[in-house]
Amino acid sequence: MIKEEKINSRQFTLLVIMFTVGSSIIIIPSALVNESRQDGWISAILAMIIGLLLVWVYTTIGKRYSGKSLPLIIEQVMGKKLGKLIILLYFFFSFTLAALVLRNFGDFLNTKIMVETPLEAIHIMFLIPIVYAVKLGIETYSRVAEITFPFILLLLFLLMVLSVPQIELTNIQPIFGEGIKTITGGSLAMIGVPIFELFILTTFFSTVNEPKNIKRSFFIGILIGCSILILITLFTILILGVHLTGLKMFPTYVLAKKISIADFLQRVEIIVAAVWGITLFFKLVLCFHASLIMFAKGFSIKNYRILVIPMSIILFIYSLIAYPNSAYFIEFATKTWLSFGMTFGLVIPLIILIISFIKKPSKTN
Amino acid sequence: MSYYRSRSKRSKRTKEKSHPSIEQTTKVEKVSMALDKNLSAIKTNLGDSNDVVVRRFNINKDTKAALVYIDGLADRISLQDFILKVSMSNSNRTDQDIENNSVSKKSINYLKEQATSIGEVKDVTNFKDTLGAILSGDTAVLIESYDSAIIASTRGWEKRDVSEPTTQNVIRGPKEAFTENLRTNTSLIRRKIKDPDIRIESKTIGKHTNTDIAIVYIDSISNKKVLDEVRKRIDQIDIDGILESAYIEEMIEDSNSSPFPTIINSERPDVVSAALLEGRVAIIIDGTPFVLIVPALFIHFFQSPEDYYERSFYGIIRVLRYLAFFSALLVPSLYIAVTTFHQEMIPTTLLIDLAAQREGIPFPAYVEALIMEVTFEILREAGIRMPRAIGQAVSIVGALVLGQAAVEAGLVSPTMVIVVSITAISSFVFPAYDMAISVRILRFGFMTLAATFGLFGISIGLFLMLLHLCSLRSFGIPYMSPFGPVNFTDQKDAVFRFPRKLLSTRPRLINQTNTKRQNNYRKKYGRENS
Repeated sequence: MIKEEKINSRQFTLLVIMFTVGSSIIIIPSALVNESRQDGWISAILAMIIGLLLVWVYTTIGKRYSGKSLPLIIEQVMGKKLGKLIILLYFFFSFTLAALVLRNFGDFLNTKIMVETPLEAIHIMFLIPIVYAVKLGIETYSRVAEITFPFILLLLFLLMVLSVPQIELTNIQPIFGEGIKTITGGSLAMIGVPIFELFILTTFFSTVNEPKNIKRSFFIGILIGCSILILITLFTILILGVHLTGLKMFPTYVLAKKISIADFLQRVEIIVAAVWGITLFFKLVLCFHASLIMFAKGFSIKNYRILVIPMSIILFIYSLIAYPNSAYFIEFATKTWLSFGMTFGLVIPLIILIISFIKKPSKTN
Repeated sequence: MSYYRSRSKRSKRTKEKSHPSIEQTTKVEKVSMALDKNLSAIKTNLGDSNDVVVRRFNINKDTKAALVYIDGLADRISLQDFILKVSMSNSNRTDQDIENNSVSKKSINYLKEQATSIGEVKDVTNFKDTLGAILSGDTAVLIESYDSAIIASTRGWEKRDVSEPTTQNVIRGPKEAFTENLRTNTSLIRRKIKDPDIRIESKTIGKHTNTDIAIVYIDSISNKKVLDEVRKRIDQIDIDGILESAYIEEMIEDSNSSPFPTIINSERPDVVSAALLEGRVAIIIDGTPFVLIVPALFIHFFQSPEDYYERSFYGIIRVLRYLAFFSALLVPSLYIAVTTFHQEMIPTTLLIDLAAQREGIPFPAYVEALIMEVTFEILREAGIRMPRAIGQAVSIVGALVLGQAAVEAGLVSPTMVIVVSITAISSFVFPAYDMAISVRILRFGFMTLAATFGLFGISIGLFLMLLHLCSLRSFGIPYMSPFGPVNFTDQKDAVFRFPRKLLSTRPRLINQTNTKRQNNYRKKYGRENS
């Protein structure tokens, strides 16, 4: 008998924000700018709108099977055997995402902050709180999200205020200079990375204590999360310019490096590292947790908690072999991941939605 | 869940042998009709201890009776008064009594009536209870051919007067503190809250010490769930003796393995009364001035009574204590991390200074910090325990060893001395000493993390600490509320103490039913004046 854990809709909103911002905040500007140049921030707005549409799809699925988590919905829609297969595919999707996010973080620390520390050590260290969080459960780590969120907002606010003196408006001109086509092309980068991945969060629909508020909190979460990304992209373009933003792997970090107030307040890039670390922590925890729930459901294991430690070891290895180097990752993230994400974040959800409309969900169970 | 289950199992297993030792040695169960039999039974049970006084006397000239009490525990004045009155009753007896020549109901009632100088008189038929009463300072009156003992409440022993609190001082506010006597303590609370709703439930714990404890709460305000949980956990205690409230605290707290306390203690009646008014429950243990308050959340360890006794602007000061929490926890580790891993974060001029200072130091920053912190902790321990006369010597040695001499000898850098001083002073800021202890322990963990992984290590440590804090509960209430889960109305008394006109409700999570604290008095005044 395990007590079912419940979070409220505000906590769910925060998790959505964390998930959206996590890992994207530091890499998204360069991905957007590489495609749509100085209009990258407009692409981000476009991506947000598409994100809102997708979230409508996700929450409608959730609503039609109110109070059920994703694996149960899949099983009910697709039937037992096919359902199990899809669940395992989703396990693979979120587990891979967890590995990539972890590796992202390791790469960042290894190239920017702790150059001499081996990647393995960083990964193990970062996995310790993750394993602990997943063991404790969603109730606990969403409370941590509540405590850390004000600090994230404060740090972001500081970052933006401090970088205001460096703004050069010419950097974003001409607006719409490259035409609509490049803007839509650029928005794909953001749709691929945080937006399609949001489908993983439907796993936690069953833990929200007021199912009717899910839609609202999901929308608010994605609005705030994407707004942060849009603002960050705008600021990086305004300050670093198109060329530098596109060139750097972690442009937001470079942005923070440029801040210097009265020659005293310098080197505040640790702000960015902190915000990134916190949000990425939650993204990783959510992905890992979701993948464990999928795995447990796929193999009919009652309690996912026994999987935490063995799966974390696999995750550790997986993150190390996920990709050989950063260049490969950029290639993978921009080209391959989009279609990968589209399968899991758009195609399958749409199929589920359509089937659910045809096959009326039985109210009895 | 599993924790409770194992607890209840344990208690079930031990239930059969959990009876107090009095009963184990007692063969007699009931008070018998024969006085001599009773007295010899008492003798065998209490042994030949010379503080047990058995005083024989006669009622109605020929009815034998005896007083049994323990010298030093029973109040002599009321005893003397009682004996005097009883002996006087001999002359007052009626002729009818002589005719009956036996102990009649009337004469026993008469005896009881004579005990006006004594607060409470009751009949006890159980021999075990009689012994228990004698051991807690009451006097047993045994009468020939009467099958119960009359227990007169004569408790009165040497006790300390109510004095100023020694550990939890304030500049403004009541200057009285609890004492070691349970009754005095309950009376101190009753003096503050003259409410018929106040409830004092007493229990006796400890096979050998038979310590009295009292659960105090206000019936109309307290949270019944917490109360039930307190009763349940206290009933499961099975121990030979209770000497301090810490015994109870350790046995009923939610998590023994957590460095953070989930029960707060106070020696101030005003703090306990304030907690009762918030709907919390107090547990008073006889023999210690430290009263336990449950549930205790993270924020409670940062609340000082003075926040409420000074004007509301003082409520801002509370944020300093949270700052002190972080500086006591992290300053040494931040110093280690920055000097060993992240030199680029220090402004250049300061960096040159630091480097110059550290040039002659033979140890790495971590070892340096460890030596200094451990030395300081030793000094602090010495400061608590040393005889008062040597106090000055230790403080001189401390100041010299930790300060000038160590720096001049080139063992530590001057900056390190500053770091240790900041840590030390910060750890004295907390109103609750328990929190300072957990911070002291965690500090060393953070220092090690900083020495191995720099700021990254510290953040990992903070994540782990936060996760742990969020997973804790104190008697069912999430430990980190009202921060996580967020409760906006309770923020008024969390990081800051808001002006009193805004404190119109009690903390919501502790008591969900009766939360109204006051009407908006400002509004009322305004209406009357205009």
